[in-house]
Amino acid sequence: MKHLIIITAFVLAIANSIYSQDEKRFDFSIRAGLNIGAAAPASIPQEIRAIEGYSPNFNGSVAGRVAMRMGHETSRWHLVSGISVERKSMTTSARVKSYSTEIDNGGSHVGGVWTGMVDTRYSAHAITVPLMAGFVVTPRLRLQAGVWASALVSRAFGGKVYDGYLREGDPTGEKIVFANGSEAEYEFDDQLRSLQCGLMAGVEYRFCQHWLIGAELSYGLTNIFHADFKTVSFAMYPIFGNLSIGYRL
Amino acid sequence: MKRTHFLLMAALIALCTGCIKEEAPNAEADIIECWLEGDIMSRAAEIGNDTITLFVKSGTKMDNLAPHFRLTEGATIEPKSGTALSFVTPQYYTVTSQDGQWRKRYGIRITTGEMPFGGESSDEITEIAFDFEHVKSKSNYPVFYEVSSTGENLFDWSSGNAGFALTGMASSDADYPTHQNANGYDGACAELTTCRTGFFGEMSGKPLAAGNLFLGNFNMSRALTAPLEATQFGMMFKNVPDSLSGWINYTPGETYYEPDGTGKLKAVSDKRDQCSLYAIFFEATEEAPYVTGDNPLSATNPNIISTAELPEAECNATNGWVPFKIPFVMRAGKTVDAEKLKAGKYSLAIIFSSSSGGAEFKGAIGSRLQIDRVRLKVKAQ
Repeated sequence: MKHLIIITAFVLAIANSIYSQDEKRFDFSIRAGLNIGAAAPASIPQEIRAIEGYSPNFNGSVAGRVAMRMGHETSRWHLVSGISVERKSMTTSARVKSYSTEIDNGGSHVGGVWTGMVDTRYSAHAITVPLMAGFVVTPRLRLQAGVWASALVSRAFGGKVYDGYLREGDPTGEKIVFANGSEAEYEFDDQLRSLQCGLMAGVEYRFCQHWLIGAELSYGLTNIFHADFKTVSFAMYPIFGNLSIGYRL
Repeated sequence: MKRTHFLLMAALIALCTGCIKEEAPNAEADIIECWLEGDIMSRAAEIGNDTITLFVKSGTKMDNLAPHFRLTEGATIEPKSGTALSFVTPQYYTVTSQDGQWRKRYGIRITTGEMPFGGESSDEITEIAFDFEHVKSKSNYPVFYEVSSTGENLFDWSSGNAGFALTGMASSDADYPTHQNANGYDGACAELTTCRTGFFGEMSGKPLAAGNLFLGNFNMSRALTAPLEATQFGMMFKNVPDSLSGWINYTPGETYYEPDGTGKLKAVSDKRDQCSLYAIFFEATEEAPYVTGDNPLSATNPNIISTAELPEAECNATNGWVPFKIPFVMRAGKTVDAEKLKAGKYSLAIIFSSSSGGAEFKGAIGSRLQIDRVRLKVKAQ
């Protein structure tokens, strides 16, 4: 094994772009990391006037990964998959203007246009399976991109509105002021989808024989809410970055 | 949209102020202020969401008045601010929002505050009749109003219906705490019912709504922040009230409830609900133009001149229609100043409620107070 690494270093020294033949067909790794990101609209709607607070929260992830070399021994292509258990969460505080909302609960229906502060917390615990194509740039550096799917084992979306006013029905409706600490809480846990999927891309770098660091971005293609949920008038997508440290077996 | 934009957003979400789009033009179409120039107004304008009442001094000619307006930024109004019109009957204005998408029609009434008299009259006493025959639908909830002998709308009774509308619990007029019942003592009557406010009411810590009906305004903007201040009791009154009489039919609900501190209702055993029925004649000052729902009969309120209250013993189940008659009792040391009376400085509030503890969200669900044939006797000038 040792001589193989020496060869690798030698090859690297000569031609950085030439791939060595020492790699095994499969490589396994385990890794632990942190997610930082948000459930966010694809583009910020005009109703959102300012984001006044954001906390990424502490989102841990643990994962097992396997990379399989595709094709002959000199192939630079890998198929990367695995499984991870992760948390994706955030809290934000935004100021909105004329944000249209409708709430149904049992027989009660309330709709209106809100101008003021909205605090949002989103939290999901998920089991995620990625499927990516990896391209080996150098034996230590691999770029990879592909798709992912998550099954959410717990999910929460809620928050409160305060420091503003609601126009009942539409912008010409009765004005109801929320001030001096009066607020309304909302909770739409049940409206979150339990399956998510999306695109991801990343890079991992092996900095010694067994240890590696990885950075990935994942972008959800599925709205976090069910399609028939109208209270939040725009679709929101989970967009998270992951930084991890791993050990290659 | 390019992928790079997504990635950038994910990384920089906290610094995303750069992505904030240009602010949309205003969608609201409010009259924020309304006034008449010159020294002809007798008190501040009452501005609702789509109605405005301006009070002018006795003797003001109504056929050529030009209200001025301040609107939501960027909004426009038709007819224009400062246009002279006849206000013998109410005039209607349309405000269009800055973004051009929304229009609101305001009815503007200008009045001297003098009440028309009907019913019986004698040399010393004249009578004003309230029969609750007229009800209209405003934003889908019922509003009682009074008409003159010539059929014009004199004023609207207020209620908490606008607040109840927010709970989403009502699908028809009869679902509102304050509504009309066609089978009254004489013709139709007002029917006040204590109702649950459902999910949204509980969520905001207001699990119950007593039916109420009063002279004054229900200030929706304060309904959540300070519900006791949302009920603004009192309407300009240029006569001295003498007594209030009428017919009521009260049936308390089965179980008495109180809020448990978390916004939900808890049953209280051995307690029966009571209705409330009272009237307040008071001086409306610039600092205190109304009496609010927060301790309206306060013994220490220096502005109160006289009150009429249905005794507690008569606020229980009536087993059918019963008459009531309550005199206005002057408070110690109070007198009515004839000049102030003429200048419209006094107000009268008449308040009915199906649960006397309604202001604190206490009462029995289903308590029902029917009111009919109310007569207000006033001393002749």
